[in-house]
Amino acid sequence: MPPPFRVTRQTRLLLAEFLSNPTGDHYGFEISKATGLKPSTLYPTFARLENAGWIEGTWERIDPDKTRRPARRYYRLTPRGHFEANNIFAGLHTGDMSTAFGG
Amino acid sequence: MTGLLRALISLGSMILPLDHRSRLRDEWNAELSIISTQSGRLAALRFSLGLLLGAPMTALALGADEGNPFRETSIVAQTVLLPCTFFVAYGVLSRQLHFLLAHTGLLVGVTLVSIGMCRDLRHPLETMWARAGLVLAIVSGSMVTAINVNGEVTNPILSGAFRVYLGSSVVMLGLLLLLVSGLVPLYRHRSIQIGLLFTGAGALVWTLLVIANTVLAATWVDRTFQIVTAPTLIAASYAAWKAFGRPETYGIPG
Repeated sequence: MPPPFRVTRQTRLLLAEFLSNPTGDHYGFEISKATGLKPSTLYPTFARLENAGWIEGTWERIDPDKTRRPARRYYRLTPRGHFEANNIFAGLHTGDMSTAFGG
Repeated sequence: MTGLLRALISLGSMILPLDHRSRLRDEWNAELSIISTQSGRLAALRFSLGLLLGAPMTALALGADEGNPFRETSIVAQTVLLPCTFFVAYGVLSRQLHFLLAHTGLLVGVTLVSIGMCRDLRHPLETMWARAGLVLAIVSGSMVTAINVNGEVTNPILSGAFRVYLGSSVVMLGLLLLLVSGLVPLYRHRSIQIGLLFTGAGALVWTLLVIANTVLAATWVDRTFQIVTAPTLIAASYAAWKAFGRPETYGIPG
């Protein structure tokens, strides 16, 4: 089944970052630094992937009074997202990531 | 300092669609706290300014997603932002400030209406953004019309220019109807429909007259402005017609 949104170069960059640590929690600033994506691209892409069920967003479980900072929002790849992301990269060009990113 | 940066983030998030606004504001504030602790004030300032300046594009990207009833309107807002940039550059270069102010005001007004539509999906014309945008568009558009009335250039071939203000006057009437229909609930569907028809048809006439004058007339300065403004208004009217036709909003049959 094709993705419910257009898979742009930015979406691929984001998915590749998730695939680099598929079971780990990721957050916006970290991904922005790693991929070079601007917030104006990053957060709408998060929303798109979350709506499609490819990633799952959860709030950090902390007591803001104790930590003296608000809870951060983490994103994690879902099993479906893992499957779909692998499909995208496998379907583009095996082993040549520059082609996958349109380079 | 952190309070100021939080205020910048809150300001930026105000432009976002309702269903994303509070979540993204909380998320950005959390990131800001950690960045200011770990990377210092400069990084936090850069982060906040990046969010603030990028907020319009974030709003448009969120609004452009499939399933959002204002996809078309968001696309129009993007098409409007480009001419606005052009006008600023052009106005500085040509020093024709009255053209610059009038046309930019009209297009910024249309952009504000689009933003208002993105912010409240169910009552787009009732938002403050849309009302302010319509008032700005009407005031600036009236300036454009006044320039059109007084600034008709003699056409060397036809001994007189086509009356461009006929088109822009009809557009102003359409915008006025849209403003009234956002304020008065009586006959809202019908008045929005007529307002959009006036805006679209007026912009079409305006475009055709400008094209005719540009081809035939000797001067080009005000024509250059108008050849951008008038087609943009056609696109905006069409997009608004499509957006208002969605069942989630006013459900005007298109």
